[in-house]
Amino acid sequence: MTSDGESFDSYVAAEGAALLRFAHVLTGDHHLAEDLVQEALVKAHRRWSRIDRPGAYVKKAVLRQYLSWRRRRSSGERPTDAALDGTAVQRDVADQVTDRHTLRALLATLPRQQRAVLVLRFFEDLDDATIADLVGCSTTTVRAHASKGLSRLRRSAQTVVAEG
Amino acid sequence: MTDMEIQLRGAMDDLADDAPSAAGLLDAVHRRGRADRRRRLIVGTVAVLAAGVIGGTSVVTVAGRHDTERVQTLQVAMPAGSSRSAPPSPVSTGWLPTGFPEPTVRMLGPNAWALDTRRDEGLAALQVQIMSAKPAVRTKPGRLTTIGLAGVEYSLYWVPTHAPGAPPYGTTPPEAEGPYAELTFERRPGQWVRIIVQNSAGDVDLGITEDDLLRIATGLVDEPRALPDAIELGLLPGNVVWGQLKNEDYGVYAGFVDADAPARPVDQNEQPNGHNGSVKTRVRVSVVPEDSLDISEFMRPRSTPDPDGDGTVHQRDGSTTALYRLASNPKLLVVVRVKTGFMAPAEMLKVARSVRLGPDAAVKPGS
Repeated sequence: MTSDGESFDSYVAAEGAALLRFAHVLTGDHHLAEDLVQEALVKAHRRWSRIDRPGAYVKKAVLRQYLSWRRRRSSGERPTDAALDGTAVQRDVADQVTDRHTLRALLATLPRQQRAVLVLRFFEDLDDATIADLVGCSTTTVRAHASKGLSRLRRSAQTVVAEG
Repeated sequence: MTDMEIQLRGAMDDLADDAPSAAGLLDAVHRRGRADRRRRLIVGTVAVLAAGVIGGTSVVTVAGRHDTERVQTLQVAMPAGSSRSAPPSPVSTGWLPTGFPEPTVRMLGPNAWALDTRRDEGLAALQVQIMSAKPAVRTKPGRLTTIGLAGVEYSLYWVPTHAPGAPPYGTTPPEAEGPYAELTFERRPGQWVRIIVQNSAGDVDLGITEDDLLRIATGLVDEPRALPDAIELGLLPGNVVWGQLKNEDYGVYAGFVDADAPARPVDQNEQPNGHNGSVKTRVRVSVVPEDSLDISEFMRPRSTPDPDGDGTVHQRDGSTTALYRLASNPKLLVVVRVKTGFMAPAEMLKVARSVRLGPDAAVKPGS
């Protein structure tokens, strides 16, 4: 149990769904999300008695695995063309950059670091310092990843719109 | 917020809604844990057999070969300004409230330490941080007061007992988690102290008063307190000094910073219930189990071969990483990581070979 007395099983029962949501936003892939969460929880279980903040610990473990497991890259990222073969972009886009479906596909094409930073900023609502700690980089790098990620999404969206 | 950012949030919410179900997650985790334990047992046995029968891979063979070489490198004098092991805290606790055992010591940054202790009866975690730069003081949503005592000005930040997440303390740690007290003061010129007491139980009292905090503060003594003897380095670049030491069962981590870097206060995220502060290091040296996630990307079959058995060096994403199997325990790897260009690979391997794990090291293979 953690210092606060929470058992591992009750933690998983309470937070498992939220962890899977986070991992799925991060990866965009059901199997990879399950894989990352399970692996992170297995690691956490081994050292449960020494973990003070299981939420932060497990989330960081999911994130670090996502960023470092190169062999899983192919299942976690989708080439742009393959992901954008539908009719989702064929609509009036005079004022609207793109729609959610398209954006979701474009998100999958970002480098993992950029995607992770955007997910932590816009899904988890974390500040740059916290993101930097989780990702293991400086706040300057976080801002650079966010900026590049958003620019890349904008460019890709414009390309999709132009080709639509 | 731009249209793109708004829609990005929407797209992420959609993704979250499509996440896999958590039903069966706990069973899957336990099954996987059991399988991992079996796998580690088998892999460990096979590795030992392989090393003995066929000489093993080039990485395994370095173990025996470098016993002699490691001793030689340890004889090299450390460059000025550095030391073989992490420097002790210059301050120890004197008086502590009832129930708190002797603190353990951690290094939080260059010239920064933490003395940690906790009690289960009257649940509270207590941390005394010592640093050489003035730390930031919290101002809200708790109550900030200033206390003058014997010519010293103390800043006291206090969050009373409350349910987790209750207004006005919201959802942001540390206030969100329960009662929290922080006393900050300059103990002597250039030496700042921050004493934190907290628990994460929400509506459970700390059992600590303002007077208790002041008594802890005034009871501190100038008595060096050594860190655990977890890791020792025989060689380091001359322009870095110790900046961090973590002694965990999943790895011993030492960080080194520029010797002339300006003093910095300890991160406010560094708290007794969660060690979240980060230190910007120039050289990171760690000892981790061979199946550690930290090095998993370098341990694939396609990893750079190691024809000479001297360890391996890898470059990726702007950083260079040297791996060297610890002579005294081949299931542990020494990892030296720097920003590419900061050190020559050959020099990094020299540092890796000079590492000795101390008797207090918490890391265990397969932990």
